[in-house]
Amino acid sequence: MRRRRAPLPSSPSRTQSVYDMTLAAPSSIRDRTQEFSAILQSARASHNKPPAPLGTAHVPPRSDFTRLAAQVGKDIQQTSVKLAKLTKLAQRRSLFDDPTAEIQELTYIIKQDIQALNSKLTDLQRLRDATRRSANKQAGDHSENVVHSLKGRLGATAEGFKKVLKMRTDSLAAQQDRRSHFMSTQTNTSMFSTPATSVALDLGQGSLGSTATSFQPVQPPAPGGRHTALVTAPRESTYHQARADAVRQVESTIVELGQIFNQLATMVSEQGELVERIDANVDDTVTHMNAGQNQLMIYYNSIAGNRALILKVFAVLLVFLVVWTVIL
Amino acid sequence: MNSSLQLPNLSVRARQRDALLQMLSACTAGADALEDNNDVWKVLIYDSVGRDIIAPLLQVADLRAAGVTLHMMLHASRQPIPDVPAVYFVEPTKENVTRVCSDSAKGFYASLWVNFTNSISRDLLESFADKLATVSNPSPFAGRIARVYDMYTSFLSLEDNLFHLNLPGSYVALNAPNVTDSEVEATIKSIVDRLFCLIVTLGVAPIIRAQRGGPAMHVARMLEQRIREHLISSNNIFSEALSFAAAPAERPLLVIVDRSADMSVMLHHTWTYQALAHDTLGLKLNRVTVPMKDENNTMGEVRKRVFDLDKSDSFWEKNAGLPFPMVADAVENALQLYQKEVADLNRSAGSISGEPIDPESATLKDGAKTSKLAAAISSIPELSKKKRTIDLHTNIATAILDQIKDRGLDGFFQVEEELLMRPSTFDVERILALLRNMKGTVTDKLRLFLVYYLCVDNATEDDLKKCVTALETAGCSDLNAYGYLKSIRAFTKKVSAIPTAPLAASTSIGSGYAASVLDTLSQVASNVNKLIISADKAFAASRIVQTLMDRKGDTSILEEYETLDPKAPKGSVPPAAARPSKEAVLFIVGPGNYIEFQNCQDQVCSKVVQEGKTTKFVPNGKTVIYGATELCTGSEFLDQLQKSGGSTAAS
Repeated sequence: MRRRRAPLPSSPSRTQSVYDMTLAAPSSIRDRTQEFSAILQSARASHNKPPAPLGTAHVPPRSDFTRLAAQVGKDIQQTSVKLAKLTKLAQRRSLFDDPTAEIQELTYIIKQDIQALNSKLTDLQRLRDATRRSANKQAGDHSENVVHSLKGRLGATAEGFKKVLKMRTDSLAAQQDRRSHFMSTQTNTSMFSTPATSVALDLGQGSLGSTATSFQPVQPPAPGGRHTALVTAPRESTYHQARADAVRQVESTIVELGQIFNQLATMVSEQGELVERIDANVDDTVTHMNAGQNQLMIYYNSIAGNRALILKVFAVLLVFLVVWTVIL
Repeated sequence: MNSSLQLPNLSVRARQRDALLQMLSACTAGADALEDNNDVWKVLIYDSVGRDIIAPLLQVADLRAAGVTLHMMLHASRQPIPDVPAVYFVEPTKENVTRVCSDSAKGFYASLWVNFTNSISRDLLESFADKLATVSNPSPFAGRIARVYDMYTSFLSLEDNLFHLNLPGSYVALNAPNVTDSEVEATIKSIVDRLFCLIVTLGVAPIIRAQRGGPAMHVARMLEQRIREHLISSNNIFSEALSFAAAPAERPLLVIVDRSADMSVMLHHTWTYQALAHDTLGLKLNRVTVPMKDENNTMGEVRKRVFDLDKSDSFWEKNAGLPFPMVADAVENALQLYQKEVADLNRSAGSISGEPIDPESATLKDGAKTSKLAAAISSIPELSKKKRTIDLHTNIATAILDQIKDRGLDGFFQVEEELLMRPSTFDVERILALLRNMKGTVTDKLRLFLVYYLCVDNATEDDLKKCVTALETAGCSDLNAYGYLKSIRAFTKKVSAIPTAPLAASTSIGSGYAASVLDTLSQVASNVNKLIISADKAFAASRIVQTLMDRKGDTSILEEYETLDPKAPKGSVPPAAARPSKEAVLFIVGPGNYIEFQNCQDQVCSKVVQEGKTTKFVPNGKTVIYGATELCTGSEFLDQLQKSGGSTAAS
């Protein structure tokens, strides 16, 4: 898609090397920049001004807000790359080649990322509030929307994360089932259930943005679990398994409830933007208001001019009147 | 290379949308190379022309997804946002250019990406540069013009196969007797400009077939010239597209037809949903304003609500072209379906609290239940969207029904239908009866009369006089349109050279229908059975396109339309391609409407399938894009005719 575009034959020189590395316009769009800049250079020359190239060659100094927002955007991007990797890992359903350690590690990293991003977003919001207090409403709206879109993206990422973990939990449960079919009841069950549950515990905490939720770090698997499972009698082991199952059920229920509340929250926030169109006549109204105000100003000016004249005429009349009465 | 160029069918809407998205992403991609930062937010600034182009294609949510945080009018008061790039999407005019320059001088935005809706002329570009050179920029960083693009998007695409050029009053501008030649030239030039945009957007140089004599030929010749120039120039805009669109059979046909080929369709009353929405409620840019009746408000105050009708609305997508009573039926069905779904949802989610808890398997069951609840919750947004759609269409259908009742549109439709089908044996008394009836506005009556006049060649002076008297007693004082049509007929008999054909989807309604005043939508639905769709009726425009695409049939049409091939060497006789074309663009020089559009889709692009008692249109692989200089309702077109007639009287 992105191709170098051959320079126009009219281009005077290759000074604007910036343009050579730009994207090729799609077939229906035609880049007139070179033509324009050629004309502009000659126009500047005729006005005795130093030639200055077009383009964004000089990066303007950017505000803290923009920098931070760009940073967050990039981080979210990276996190979603990691998430894609995790998804791929979690989709593996092989019984023997189970990348548990890798998944654990990635899960931990992504969790950390999301946590960090969340706190960064809070910072961003604080910055936004600071800029909002200034008089420039449009700049405020802009940063508001930036924060909003970042929040949306982080929300989507967290949602994806959650889905992957859910999938992982399910597949672990399935694996465990299969294993218990093949192996004796003595085999350790809590070894597999513990990492899954410790992951699942954090799922409910998805509410983003307004309240800075702190994600709980992963609890390391309880060291005693394995030991106990190995030494106890088979009867006790089934009891433990039943307990573990029960606990997991409760946990997943909590998780699902958490999801529900989350969805309710996002639903409410999304309602607003769903069906808007740009020609909702708001801007038209503003333009017309401005035009109206301009007309009023013109009228006011003309009236003001007349008023001065009227006052002068009256003053002259009054003077005459006084003089006349005094003389008579 | 570019996937969007290899769409199986031509779709104006998708292509224009792609172009706009590319415009928005250009700014990000450019910054990417320079700043190593892959999401840049931007503000979008447009004038009214740009706004109309964007509005039907991209909603606010789409813009947000493309990184646009704010969208503003060019001439509204704006405040500086210094570290954001701004994308301008404006018509190339002096005023706009001046404003862009002043924005640049004030350093409003980090960089300015200027996109013109149409190709900016060299003169204007020079004056733009000149202005920019004279203003001094206080900031060394902000406010630079980053790029200047020609977008070639100066037309409005409302549906996949429907566009118009947004040139209101085009019929008057082209046909009124008091318009000077230079004014006509200017109008034709702007038509050609915009039509060229369409062709550039489609990315293929078409083979042009144009009606001889009249403005259509004019437009065709200028357009051919324009395409030729672009094909010759070194950096031609078609170069990419043409490489794989070389075979003539794969190039679309551009059929250019004069409005005079078929005038009656513009005045005809209609019976399909979309066309009714246009004719009675003024559907514009895919949105419709419906007066709402408020039950609580007895003061007679009318609240207005605006609805969007576009591709995202599946109900609209399915039913837009159907006759109105069938739509009423469909609304009813959709509502029932929705209610059933809600009931299902309630049952599955509501059982949680209702069931006694079994202590043995409590945990397991709870898990199942919550997952059900979760599923229920996640289906709520979809359901509420469905509900909104149904509400919307109920409102619109009710509003249309009110209009039909008030104006007796069914009567008009029925009579006009018969008039179009059997013009020779039509009894003038039926028209007189309608003209003398209390129902119907003056405009409706005048439209009926004009359709009668256009369709019936051998109407006696006496009959016409009777009608005119009836119209005058009905309160119609302005008969300029009649005078105008009369003068046209006197001047040339060509109006009827192409026999005015009756329309598609002609539905004859049981006579009891008109009598019974309909109160509810379900009653309308019950009348569906009385509808008989006769599917073999095509309007003149549809028949012309069909004949030209198939290259067989009515030879008078084939001869009347001249072939212009911009790719063939100049002066050579274009070879008659043996294979019929699959794709065509039908362009009407003058106003068009939804009836003709729908007829075209039904007749040319579909084949009729009989399914029991109902008739269905099934796509047959052909694509016809319908376009006109503007979309006009019947009364708007009548207005234009009146104006044309008025100027005759004046001159």
